Amino acid sequence: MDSKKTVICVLCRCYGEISDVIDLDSLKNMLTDHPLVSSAEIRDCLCLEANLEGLSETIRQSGTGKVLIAACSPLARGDPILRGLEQRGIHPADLELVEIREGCVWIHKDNPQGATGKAWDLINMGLASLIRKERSEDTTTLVRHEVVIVGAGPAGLAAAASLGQLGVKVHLVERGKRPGGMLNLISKVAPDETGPQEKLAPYLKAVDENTNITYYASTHIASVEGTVGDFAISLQAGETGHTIHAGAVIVATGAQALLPQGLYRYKELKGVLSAIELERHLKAGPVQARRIVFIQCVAARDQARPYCSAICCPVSLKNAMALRKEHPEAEVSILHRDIICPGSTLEHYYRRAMAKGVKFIRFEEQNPPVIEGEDQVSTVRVYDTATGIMRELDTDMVVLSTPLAAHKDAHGLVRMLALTQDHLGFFEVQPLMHPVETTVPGIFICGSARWPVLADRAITQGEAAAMKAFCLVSGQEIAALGLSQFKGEKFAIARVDQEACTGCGNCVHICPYDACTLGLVDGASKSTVDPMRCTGCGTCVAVCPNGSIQLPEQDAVVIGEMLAQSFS
Amino acid sequence: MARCWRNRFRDAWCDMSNRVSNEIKGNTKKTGRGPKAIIFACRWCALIGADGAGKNRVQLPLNFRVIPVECAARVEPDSIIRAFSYGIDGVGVLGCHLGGCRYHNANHRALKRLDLLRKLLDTVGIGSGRLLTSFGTAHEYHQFAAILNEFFQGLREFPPIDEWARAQMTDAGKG
Repeated sequence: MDSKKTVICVLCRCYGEISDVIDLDSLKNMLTDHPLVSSAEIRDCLCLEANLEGLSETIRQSGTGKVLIAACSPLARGDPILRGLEQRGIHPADLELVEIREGCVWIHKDNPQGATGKAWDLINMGLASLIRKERSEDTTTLVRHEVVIVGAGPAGLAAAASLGQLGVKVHLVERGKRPGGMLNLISKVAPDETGPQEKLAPYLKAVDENTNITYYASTHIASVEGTVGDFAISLQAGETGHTIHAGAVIVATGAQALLPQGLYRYKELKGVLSAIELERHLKAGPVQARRIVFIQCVAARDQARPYCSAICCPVSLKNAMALRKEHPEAEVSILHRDIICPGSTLEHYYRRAMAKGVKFIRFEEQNPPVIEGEDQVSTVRVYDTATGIMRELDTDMVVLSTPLAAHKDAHGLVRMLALTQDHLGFFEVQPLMHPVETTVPGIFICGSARWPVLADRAITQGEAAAMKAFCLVSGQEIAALGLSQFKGEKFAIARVDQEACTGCGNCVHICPYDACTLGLVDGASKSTVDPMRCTGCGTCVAVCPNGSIQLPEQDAVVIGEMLAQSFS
Repeated sequence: MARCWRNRFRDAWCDMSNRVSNEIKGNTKKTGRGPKAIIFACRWCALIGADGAGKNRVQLPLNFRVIPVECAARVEPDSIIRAFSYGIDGVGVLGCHLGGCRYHNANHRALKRLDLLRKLLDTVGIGSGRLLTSFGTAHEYHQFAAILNEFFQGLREFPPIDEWARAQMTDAGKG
């Protein structure tokens, strides 16, 4: 097809690292005779800035465009060479780097002849790729300097306050009447034991006073459209609805406290409470009970919910100490499977509770405590694993510490935003060092919606999400190719051949980022790719039955040609 | 533009197939060089391992070629079958460890797909031993070298694939 001689080949000698092993001169001669190659030359140490300047000048003068560079690996000096040439105005699709140093010379030093043959094959593979590969079309979108925050709990409030302070317009949407989320339900915040209103005060003040922040109470999200840079979000407040626009969305919907239905005779005996009910009692006034038993890990760390909710131990410590403080003669025991209090602050908190006279008894999962009593709880029998004794604790009140669980109605939001949930219903974030970024660009998660956290950590995460959102919305526009969530630039953006696409939906099903959607084009079902969401992984390419979706940078023909050339 | 692109794609594909099968027919006697292998290496994991092997001057079997891919999930079964049809004895697909894919959960999908392909390879007689799939085990250079050496050792047990294919054709002719 491409019979024209268009490619300039540049072989790097690398101060003898390459040329001492393989026969570069014969490679050069073979390349000169190659039907695709217009000229071949050997240079020394391309990676030096001065040599790069000379090289780009040669390329510009030749005017043919495509350049194949056989040098070291992109991880060594290869990438800087490519970047340097790009900066000097050479289009990246016209460049191909073949690593003959790491990938050939250094691993076959003991077989120079074989290494020369392999280098020839590698260069041919590079040529096959170079003459076919294209560059994905880049699109840009203007960014709205506005952020929608869903949920006004501690995480959402902290995010709103930070963004408001930075001058970003914030829409804070809360489905309840009051801001504060779960902090409205509790007496004191563990582990620093401040009052919830005290904790929230600076953020509530910011929401009240900062003109950048608009607060929508008793409002639901009806639908979300658009993509990063310009989301259109319909809000529903009672009967009235209106639409707001934003460049990014922060989801801070929190979690809900699980009720221990059907466990430990909850709702059957008086005096058996869940932890959240105890909070309500403590908030209302002094608790009358004098002998209190906490049971930890109720409906948590079992088969159905194999996770530690991470907040129950500090919360029980806090409440146990509060009860001892109110009535120093009160007997407070915590029956636990393990006390999980990581970090120096929480460990200190645990030690303080021990010093304050809270008793700790460890039990095994297979041998849970038994609640006894008629009408009113009277005794808790528990097998103490530390001493091997069956203990009987007379008690007036049993508190069941249940974990935080994902909101049951979270899936509506998940579907609207095309997010993913883990098998427990919590929102998933990007793997590997992206604590608040989801798989959808422009949508961030913080607080307990992601994983149960204490209020302080929810606030920290809210601020982190605010900073990530700020990085996104502070620019003027976003380029689809530059919108990579973990590197400088995307490898490619998948491209659908609209005529060949049969609309089978394989790509829609398999895309890890929900970038492919099926829609009607001229009455036929076709797949389209959202360039903002696509990350260029190529998963869709592998499942397309007729190859109508491809990565322009490395399509199936490129791979096929490379295979054909691999042992030529 | 779209139409032209598709035609180009199809033409190129057919052209490539014809050319290569002619080449293979032309030099079927070319055996005795030991097995040949293609390694599709994920840019974020195995490619770094391969690069590290170079940096550390580990001496590796000569007859393998690395094709860098963005993700192991990008490797379509067609390409793997195509490699076998070109007389390549073994194909490796090396990706990141499961749960550590840069592209969310793409490599889980690759794993499932390649497991199906294994069954297919066993069914048609090529043998699943010619396909190496490994996730998260080739990030370090010594791991990459060990996997490659082991793979080549396994491949030496198999007859060269072009010989095997000829035998199949002869059998079919007899039948």
